[in-house]
Amino acid sequence: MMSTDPDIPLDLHDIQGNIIKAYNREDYVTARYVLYQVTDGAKGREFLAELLPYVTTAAPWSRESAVRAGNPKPPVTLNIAFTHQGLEALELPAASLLTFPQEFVSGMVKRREILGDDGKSAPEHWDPVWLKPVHLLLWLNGPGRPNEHVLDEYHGMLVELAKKFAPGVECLSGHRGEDGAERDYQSGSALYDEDGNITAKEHFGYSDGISNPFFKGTGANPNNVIGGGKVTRESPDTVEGWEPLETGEFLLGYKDEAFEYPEAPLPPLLARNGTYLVFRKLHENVGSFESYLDETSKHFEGGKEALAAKFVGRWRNGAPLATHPTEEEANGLAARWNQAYVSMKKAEADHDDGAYATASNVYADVRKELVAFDYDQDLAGGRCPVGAHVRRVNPRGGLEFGRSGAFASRGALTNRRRILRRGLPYGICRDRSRDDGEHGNIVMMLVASIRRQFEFVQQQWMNYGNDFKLGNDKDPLLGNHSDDPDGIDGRMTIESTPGSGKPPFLCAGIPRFVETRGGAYFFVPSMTALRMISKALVDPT
Amino acid sequence: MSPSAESGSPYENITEMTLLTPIKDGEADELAQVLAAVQIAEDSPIKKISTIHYARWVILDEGARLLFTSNFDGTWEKYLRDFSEKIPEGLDAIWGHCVGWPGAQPFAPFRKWVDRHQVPANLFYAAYPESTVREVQRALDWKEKTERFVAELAKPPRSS
Amino acid sequence: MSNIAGKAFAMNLITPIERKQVKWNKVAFWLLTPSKPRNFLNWFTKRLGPRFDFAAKLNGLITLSMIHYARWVIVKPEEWPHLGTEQPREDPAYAYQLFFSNFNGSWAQYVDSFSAGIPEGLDGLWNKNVGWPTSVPQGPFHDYVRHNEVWTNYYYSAYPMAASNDIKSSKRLRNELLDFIDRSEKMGAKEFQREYHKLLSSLQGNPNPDFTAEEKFPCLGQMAPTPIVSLASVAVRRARVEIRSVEEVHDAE
Repeated sequence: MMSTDPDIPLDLHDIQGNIIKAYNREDYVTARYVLYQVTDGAKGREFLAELLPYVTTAAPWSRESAVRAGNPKPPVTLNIAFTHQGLEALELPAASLLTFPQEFVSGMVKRREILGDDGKSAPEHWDPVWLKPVHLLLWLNGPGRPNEHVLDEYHGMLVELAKKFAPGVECLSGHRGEDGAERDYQSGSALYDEDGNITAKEHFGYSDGISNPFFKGTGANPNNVIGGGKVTRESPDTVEGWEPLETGEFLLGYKDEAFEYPEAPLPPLLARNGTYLVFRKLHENVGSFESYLDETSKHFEGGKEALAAKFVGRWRNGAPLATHPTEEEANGLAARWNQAYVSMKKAEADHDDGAYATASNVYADVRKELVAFDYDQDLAGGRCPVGAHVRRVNPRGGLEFGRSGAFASRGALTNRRRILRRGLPYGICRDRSRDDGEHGNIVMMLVASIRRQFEFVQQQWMNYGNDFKLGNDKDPLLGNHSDDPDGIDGRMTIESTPGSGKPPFLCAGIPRFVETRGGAYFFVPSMTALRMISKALVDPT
Repeated sequence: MSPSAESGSPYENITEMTLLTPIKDGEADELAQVLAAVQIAEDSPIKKISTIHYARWVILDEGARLLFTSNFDGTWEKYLRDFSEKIPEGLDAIWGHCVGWPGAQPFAPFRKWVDRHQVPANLFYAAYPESTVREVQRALDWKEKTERFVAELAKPPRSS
Repeated sequence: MSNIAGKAFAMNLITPIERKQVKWNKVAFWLLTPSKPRNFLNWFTKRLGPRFDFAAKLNGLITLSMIHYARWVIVKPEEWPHLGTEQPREDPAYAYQLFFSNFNGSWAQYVDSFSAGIPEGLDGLWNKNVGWPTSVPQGPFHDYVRHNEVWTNYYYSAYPMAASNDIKSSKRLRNELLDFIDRSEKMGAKEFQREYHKLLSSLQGNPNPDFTAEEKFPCLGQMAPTPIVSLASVAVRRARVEIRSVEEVHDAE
């Protein structure tokens, strides 16, 4: 297929930072998520105007780019997004409001049946704040230990600033905190290991956020297309095996994988360089997870770690099953990965540019091993089960089922379902034998179409299995397995290696490991659009 | 319309019917009401014909004609006999709104009418052409039971 | 009025086609219909290159595995009958291509899978039709389908809770099981266990292209009546249950 020049740069100064930058990879490992209601449009717009100078854009920071002169990194990042009701409260013209897609207008609560937010994930069990009229999301990302107070200070400034606009702009309270108290913000933080080092883990113990889509125009290292772009018919461990995705899958105003501009609100300036944000607060039932693994792995060859790996398709240390089927291989890769990361960070801290360049090349090589694979050598799922989490959410070339050429491109059924993932864990799991407590993941997903990308993956690939020929089996880790004994059983087939004579291992009675505790659909406008909204300049005529 | 009564199905065991019949002037709305009622009824006439896989009625061309398609097991003749004998009232209620409908009984004129309005498919695709409705349903039943049995064996002992 | 029966969705697409183009589409349809002469021709044309490998053109459709039944019919103007005074006179300017399909999933999932997966196949069957925009980009293609789609007044499925994949896997499972039951009668305990494990490992499926569809279809997934196809259809069903329960109360009174 024809593709446009991958090097056409985006106007990174016009795009909100978190869309392009994974902040936690830039040492912003703590976060506050604050929600507002606007009851006075004029005040809301003034508030917005006041915030504008502090909004973090995607422009490169000095460490990121040797070529372009970078901006200094801010102590704390700030980004802004709106619900549809929020845009209405800010008095966007009706003619403009009507041009947003239906699922964004409806919002996450009304889409519960599509999303499978039932049982304990039903909105009535969410943190109360999410059932209030949420209009505005502000999120701040800041440094980790020992400088967490910096985030606190900036949050304090924001609280003071917002006070100037009350009444008219109200911070919404009702985020459940650890003590059960209702707070006026949601916090997030990377998890630390026993030695106090930052990890990429979430509460179940998996390294998270390893693979993210690679698309045109970001100026990122072109080698990162491996594992992040879309699959071609070449080998997955070469640059030729991948192509960057079209920008329009993640940003409005650019061509997408269907060779057209994505459905977007009017006027075009309101949409361009903006995107949609799906915010989900997902509680993790660590007790159920650990005890299910303990019980079930008693009969599983390889034991608990291997079973945990089969659920996700990656070992808990991040190594992919598709290329690292044994625990030994996986541990080897993880050790090298960690070593490369430590060296890179050390060189950075020492301001040793030469060492940094070398270390980041090593790091990039190891990273490649974590992402450079597909499932063509593992069609039957003997290594990575067909129903494993990562194989479901990103089947790579797998939906051709090895029938090369069945579709116009290998990733034809996958390329329009990709999702940029941001966010951080929240809370601390104090007792791994219990489900209660306040801990889980703040999942932020950025997509040009909530319906086509996020909702589809959630409904068809996580909570259903037909596309993988797995019937109604769900994602073992994230599926909304039923608590009802008459409901659909939580089930996963762990395929045996074909020809081994061994039977597949069947997991049944899988409980719901993850519960939705809140969330909403937001629009993340460009800097231009934020200015237009703040000055009431949006005119779709 | 082609006077032949051939099915456009290339498969041995499955027959396809595609009928295009003109609706009597001004009766399309009433027909739509009848079809809507049949759709939500607990017991629609089609359910009584156990050889039908899929069937649909569609009002086309702003009420000018009615389309009926179905995929069924066995021969044309047997199928029409089932229609005429098992659900004549249901068919009369629907096709009675079409021009020239002779009634589902007696059989000969009914069959002649159907034959006359059949437009055989130019291309027909079936994903599992060798299976009858009964076989499909039996296979589904087997699968449900087997899969439950296999899962029961795999379940960890539940602490109650 | 409903396009949905359980997991199945009914699509009716009626598109005009110039009379003089009809013969080309009929040839294409014939080439795709399994028959002895066609198979012979295919065997021959395959050697001319992949462009002429007509059987392979169905590979994408089979791999998508969303359809239960589909049919294409072309009706020429003179084939519309006029049966008498009860029927208004018409003068159709075009021939019409009628497409009816029973598929699993939502409208967008179906339409987009075809447009992304097998755009050439779609173009091959529709590009002679008036106004066909080509299957990519998707916007104009969506518009074309929506514009020419007709709603179903009555829709029936004998097995509404089964996706096409559920049926394929059930059939294979039943065959394997019948065969196993047959064979197992004379087995000792040890042999039975070994053979049972072999059976399960075969039932897990192996979508290797060297295997036939029968051998590779995974059979161990469960079957249940989810997920919903659209919020609207759920709301309609709910309302209908409410109406019915009100009616029952009235009847009881």
